[in-house]
Order: sequence, then structure tokens, then C-alpha cells
Amino acid sequence: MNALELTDVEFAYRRNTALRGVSLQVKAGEIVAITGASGCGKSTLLHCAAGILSPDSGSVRLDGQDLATLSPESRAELRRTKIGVVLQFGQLVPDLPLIDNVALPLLLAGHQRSEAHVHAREWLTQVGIEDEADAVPSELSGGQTQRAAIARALITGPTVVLADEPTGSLDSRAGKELLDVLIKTAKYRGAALVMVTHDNLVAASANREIRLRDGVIQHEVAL
Amino acid sequence: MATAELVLGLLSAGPAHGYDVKRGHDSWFPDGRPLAFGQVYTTLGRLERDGLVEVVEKTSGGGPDRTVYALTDKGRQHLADWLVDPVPPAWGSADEVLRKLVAAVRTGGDAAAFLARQRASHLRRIRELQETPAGQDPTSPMVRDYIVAHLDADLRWLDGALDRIALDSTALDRTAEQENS
Amino acid sequence: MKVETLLLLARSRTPADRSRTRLTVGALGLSGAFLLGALRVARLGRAELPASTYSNYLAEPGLRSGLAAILVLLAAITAGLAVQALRLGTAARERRMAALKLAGASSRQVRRLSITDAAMAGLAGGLVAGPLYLVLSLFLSLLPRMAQVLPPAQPVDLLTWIPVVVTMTAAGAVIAAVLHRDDLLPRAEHPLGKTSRSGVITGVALVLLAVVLAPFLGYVATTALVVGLAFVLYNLNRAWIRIIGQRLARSGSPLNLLTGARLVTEARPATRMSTLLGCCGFLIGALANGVIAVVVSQEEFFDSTFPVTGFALAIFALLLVTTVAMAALIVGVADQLVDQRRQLACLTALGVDAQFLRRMITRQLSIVGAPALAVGMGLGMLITLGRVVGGSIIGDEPEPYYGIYLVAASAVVALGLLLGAAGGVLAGYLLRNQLRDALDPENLRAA
Ligand SMILES: Nc1ncnc2c1ncn2[C@@H]1O[C@H](COP(=O)(O)OP(=O)(O)OP(=O)(O)O)[C@@H](O)[C@H]1O
Ligand SMILES: [Mg+2]
Repeated sequence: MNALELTDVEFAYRRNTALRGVSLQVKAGEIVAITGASGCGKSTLLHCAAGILSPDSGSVRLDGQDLATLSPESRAELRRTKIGVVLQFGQLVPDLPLIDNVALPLLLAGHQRSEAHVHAREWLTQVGIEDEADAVPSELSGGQTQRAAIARALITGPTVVLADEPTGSLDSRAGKELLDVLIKTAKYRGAALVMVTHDNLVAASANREIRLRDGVIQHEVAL
Repeated sequence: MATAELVLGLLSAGPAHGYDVKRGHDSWFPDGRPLAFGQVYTTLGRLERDGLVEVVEKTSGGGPDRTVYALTDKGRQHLADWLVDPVPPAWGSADEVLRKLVAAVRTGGDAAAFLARQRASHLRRIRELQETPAGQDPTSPMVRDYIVAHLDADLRWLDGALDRIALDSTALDRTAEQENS
Repeated sequence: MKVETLLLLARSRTPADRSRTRLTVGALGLSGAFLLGALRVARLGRAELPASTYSNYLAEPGLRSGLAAILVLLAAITAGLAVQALRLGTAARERRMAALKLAGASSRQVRRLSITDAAMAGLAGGLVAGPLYLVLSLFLSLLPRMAQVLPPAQPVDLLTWIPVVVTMTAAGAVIAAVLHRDDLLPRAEHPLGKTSRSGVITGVALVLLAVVLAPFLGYVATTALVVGLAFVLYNLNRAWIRIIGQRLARSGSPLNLLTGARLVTEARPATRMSTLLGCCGFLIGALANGVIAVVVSQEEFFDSTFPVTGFALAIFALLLVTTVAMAALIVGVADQLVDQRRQLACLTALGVDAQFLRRMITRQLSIVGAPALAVGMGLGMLITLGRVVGGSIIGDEPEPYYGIYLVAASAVVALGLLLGAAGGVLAGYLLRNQLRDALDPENLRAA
């Protein structure tokens, strides 16, 4: 069974069509890079896969479950338990300290704060920002924010990790380190990892490259 | 050197004199070094020996520039095989990629597919390099970085080429549509 | 979600959110205090009371119900300020909600968070209402008899306080539930959709019905009238604000261009603000009409303190209403400034200075505020106070409709335009520091 399966997904914003029939399958343990020129629909695709946007037509299946058939509540639960998302732009809750931000999925699932903090601290250490645990997002650099977002995406042990430019605001060395954390975790857990990236060095770590152009798949090659 | 295959590509449009081949080559690579006459004739001679091209016309006067060459079926096959193969990503391989790309576009080959395979090949090479640690000596890491950076640059150029080709093909579709309507 | 988590997440701790909560608590507190006052007046029953102990406004049943109606109206308008307050920083809060949802919060959880937040503010407002009411009542008891428009507070008020606290808590929760929006991805405030014709028709119907039924339903009808008016204004305002915005945006002068663009992109808050201003203007117009009616009728008063007190009270109410409207206006703009500090700071790079921004804000506010206020005031004058509260304000016979109202209406419209323009200038002055802060290039770093 595919961990993630998109079939003929179409999506239009109010003024422009961003996806015109995209299909892709990702197996557990697979790493897929989505590339393409700016504005070709990469983020939109990722948002559809994460259940953040609902496609106008076509289906998104996660572990065989069609997202469209789920209630918003079960979709939210799915996002909390099975999907880890790292978005291109800020997604941390602005007034919460980093440690609470990272612990958030666990808190929302009903865990004790103290218990959630223990896990959150481990993940902050993994991504190398344990010293910033009590800072709020506005006190962090772009790269630190991105690390925190990755820690939060991984904390629940998702089966599908979706990352939009996960190393976009980091220099190449720091980007490489963080990418290693992401890939190692995904491999260790057997999770599917889908990364949107402009960076060829990031795309090179994938098993497959899917290149979008104007909302359709231009090509798909195994690496 | 892929001059031989380029000559095959130049002949794929139809039989031509050696002089036309040279002119064709120079117009394919306007910013590149012009092809020397001597090289054209030695290449054509070698290709004829291998059965990839044949002489279809020899005008009187007998000078080499009076001979018209054409592709054989074997030559056509050889050219197609060459165009399908991505260039092994190695130091200095970019010229070869460029040659193939130009030949593919000019001869109506599937340039987009070629570029996709070439991207994959480059990306795979980067991953291989990233996965094996560089040697401990002072220069190996530098050489490694040099190669990765150049592969990255090639990839960016390939990206641009892909976009350009996609753009041209949509433009062509559009003119075709206009002509139809 | 544990209660601990609910409380942790419900209350946002940004400074902007703190002032939003404070303003909400204040507005709902004031609203609750007016409600307590109305209930106190209503408890006097329908009978005639001795004018020796009570102010004439309380002693005569007709005037008494009018007074209660005005208190209820004031409560409604201050609650409107709470709505405006709760909408502060909408964009920032929507971003926060979206961030929570991305972390896996379900719509129900997010909804519960925003309702809990507003309900807590409502609860605090309800609790503040008691002391506020007491202060108001004590203050009025110090005035001469005629001006004692609230009967002295009684221990029973403690009992009516409980339902008021409950009402304010519920009001907070209801406002939040109504305002709550369910977008997962943060979006910019969209320009408004089409003006809803059915909205205008419903509103007009409600106003007409309220005027016809006012003599029988009392302040139920008054409330319906204000709601209907808000409906009409909201739907009309969004149409003309967009038209003006688009026209300005096509203009050649950079000042008009930027002002127009802001009006178009911020049509939502501008529409809300002008609606509130229109309702306030309506009340001002109606009260002014009452004053004129008394003067024109030339009724013989055995006691001249009666009309004088009436005027004084009317002026007090006018001031209060104007303050609420101004507060809504300024708070709204201050909020936009915080919310858009990044975009505004970008203007610095283009050579825009605080002076220019101030002119832009002043123009924006005047364009939105002045017509709304003027139209509201004109309508209030034309519909007349007597028809709003459903009884004659002088004597028992149905009150005649004096021709001078038409003249007065054009006067108050002019006054409204003037006040609106002055309000814009005043807001620009009061906000000068915020404007300077908003242009600080430091903001370019803010998220
Ligand atoms: N919220 C939105 N409303 C309207 N149009 C949008 C919105 N978000 C994106 N678009 C449009 O949809 C198209 C695809 O956008 P998308 O964000 O998916 O691109 P992208 O491939 O992620 O680009 P980038 O590499 O720059 O991040 C673009 O043309 C963009 O203009
Ligand atoms: Mg994107």
C-alpha cells in the first residue's frame, strides 16, 4: 500500500489554477523531491497532500484512507498523528515559547505538559536548538525557526513527512545537517518523506525527482 | 569527442557536402570554436569506413568538397542511441551535454526526456559523492567540493534548458492551434 | 486537550492581544453596567411615582420606558465596541489559529479556544459591570433630584448582577462564535464580496417594522431598529467604500493612490467601522431631535430644570456615544498599523515619511467616517426620537412631525461631515507615535 497517493488532483485559487491533474504515489520509506520553477504549484501540491487544502477534484489518500471521506475532525487527528508538515513560511504559534510550540501536537492530543516537554526537549536537541527552548519565535533567526518547525513535524512519529523548502533559510552546511536529521528520522521510522526544494543538493538525497511545471508533472525520474 | 555524432546529427536533415556540415556545425554553436575543415573530412572518412555514412554523389573535379554524404540506417541508429544516453557526469562533461542537447533539439529528438535523464544522472552522482566521505588528504575535499559545485551549476543550467524547451513547445502548440483555426 | 492546555492556548500573550482583551473587558463591563441600570429602572414598574423623591424622568412611566430604552441602546452600542475590540488583530489571530491547526488542532479545538478566550473576557466584563454600575449610581445620587436618572442601588441589584454576568459571558462567547472563521491557511483579508441586496431589504424592513411597532413593543422595537439600521449600513457601506477606494486607486497622486489601495484591501474593517459610526451617528441624531422637539413644542414646564436636565443628559449621552465611536475608530486604525507594520515599513524604503502616512490615515478615516456619521445623524433626526423609543417624549399625545426637522437634518449632516473629518485629523494626531513606530525600518524583520 502507498503511504501517500494523489490521483488527478486539481486545484484552483480564486484567480489562477495551480494544479491541473497531478498524480503521484509515495511508498513508505521512500524519499521524493518535488522540484520546479517558482510558482509552478509545489507548495499547493504539498498543502493538498497534507489535507490543508482540499482539491477541487481528484483524491488524496493517506495510508489508503481518502482524505475527502474523513470528517474535519478525523482529518485534524490525521494531521496530528500521521502527517508531519514543515511549511515554507512561518507556522509556529507566535506567542508560545519554542518548547511549547514543539510540544503542541502532544498537548493537543491530551498529554500532560510536563511529559510533552520531555519529548520536545529531546527533539530540540536533535535539531540543535536546545538552548532556545524558552525563546518565542520572533526572537529566533529564520534558520532556527525552521529547525523548530522540523522538530515539531517529527515529534509525533508521523508516517508521512511533508516539507516545503525545509532548508530554505539555512546555509549549505547547516542545511545539510538538518537534512540529515530529517532523512535519518524518516528512514529509521520507515516514513515517507516528500520534500519541495529548489536546492539540487537537497534533491540529490531523494530516491525520486518529480518536476512540476505549470501545475502538471513535467517529468518523474528515479535517482 | 562527440564530433562524429554531431556530424551524424548534421547529416540527419538530408545529404550534404562537407562544407555544409562545417557551416551547419558553426551555426549550431555560434559562440563555440568553429570546426576545422580538416577535422570535418577526417571525421567523414572515419564514419564512411565504419558504415555510418555513405557517399551519394561525387561531382566531377573530384575535389573532396564536391562529395555529398548521407546517413546510412546504421548511422541513424547510432545517432539515436547516442541521444538517448545521458552523459556520465564527470569532470568536464558539460560540453558533451551541451552537444547532445543541441543535436537533440536540432534533429527533432526528445530533448525534454534527455534533459530529465541527464538531471537524474547528475543528481545521482551528487548523492554518491555526498554519501562517500572524501579522502583525508588536503586536496581531496576541495576536489570533491569543486565537482559537486560544478554538477550543481550544470543542474541549474539543465533546469533553465528544461524550462526553455517546455516554453518553446507550448509556443509551438499555440502557433499550431492558431494555424488550425 | 487538557484544561491546562486549553487555558495555555486560549489566552494569547502578545501585547496586542492583551490590549484587545482589556478593551473587550472594558466595553462589556460598560455594557453590563448600562444593562444593570436598565434593569433597575425597569424594576420601578409601570405606575406613576412621586416626583418629590424621584427625578421626573423616572416618575412618569412614559419617560421611564424611554430612559430604559436609551440605557439598553447604550448597552448595545458599547457591546458593539466589544465586537470591534474582539475583531482586533484579526489577521494576526487568524495566522495564530492556522498555526495551531497545522500542529494538528481540530476545528472544534480551535473554536473552543477562541470562544473560551472571549467568554473569559466576557466574564471579566460582567464582573466589572457591578462595580461600574455602583459607581455610576453613586455618582448620579450626588446630582440634584432631577438629574438622578438612576434610582439608588439596592441589595437586589446583586441578584440581577448574576444574570448580567452570565449574559456578558454568553455575549463574549456568542460574539467569538459568530466571528470565528474556519480557514486553515492564513489569508489576507479578502476584499468584500458583492453587496447583498437581500441584506439591505431585510434591514429596511426591520427598520420600518420597528418604527411601526415601537409604541407597542417599546425597546424591543428600538433594538430591532438599531439592528436593522446596522444591516442596511453594513451592506451599503461596503459598496460605496469599494467604489471610492477603486476610484482613488486609479488616481495619479501617490497619496490618493495609496489611500485607495488601503481602502480596497481593508474594506472589511472599514465597513465595520463605518457601520458602528453610522449607528452612533443615528443615536446622536435622534437625541438631537429630542432636544429640538422639546424646544419647538414650547410646552409649558412648571419646572425649568426638567428640560435643562434633559439637555444635559442628552449631551452626556452624546459625548459617551461619540467617545465610543472615536475609540472604535482609533483602536481599529492602531490595530491596522500594528498588523501591517511590515508593509508600512516597506514604504519607508520608498521615501514615505510619517507626515505622509499621517495624511494618508487621516484621509482614509475621513473618507470612511464622515459620510457614515453624517448619514447616521441625518437619519436619526429624520426618524425622530419619539418614533425610535415608541412614545411621545413630550406629553401623551402623538407627537407632531415638525417641518424644522428637515432643516435640522441638513444641519446635522453638515455637522456629521465636519465631525468625521475632524475625527480623522484627531485620530491622525493621537496616533502620531504609532505611525512613526509603524514606519520604523526595524519592522521589516517582523513576521
Ligand atoms: N493564496 C493564494 N491565492 C491565490 N493564488 C495563489 C495563492 N497561493 C499561491 N497562488 C498561486 O498559485 C500558483 C502556485 O503557487 P505555489 O505556492 O504552489 O508555488 P510554488 O511552486 O510553491 O512556488 P515557490 O517555489 O515560489 O514557493 C502561483 O501561480 C501562485 O501565484
Ligand atoms: Mg512554495
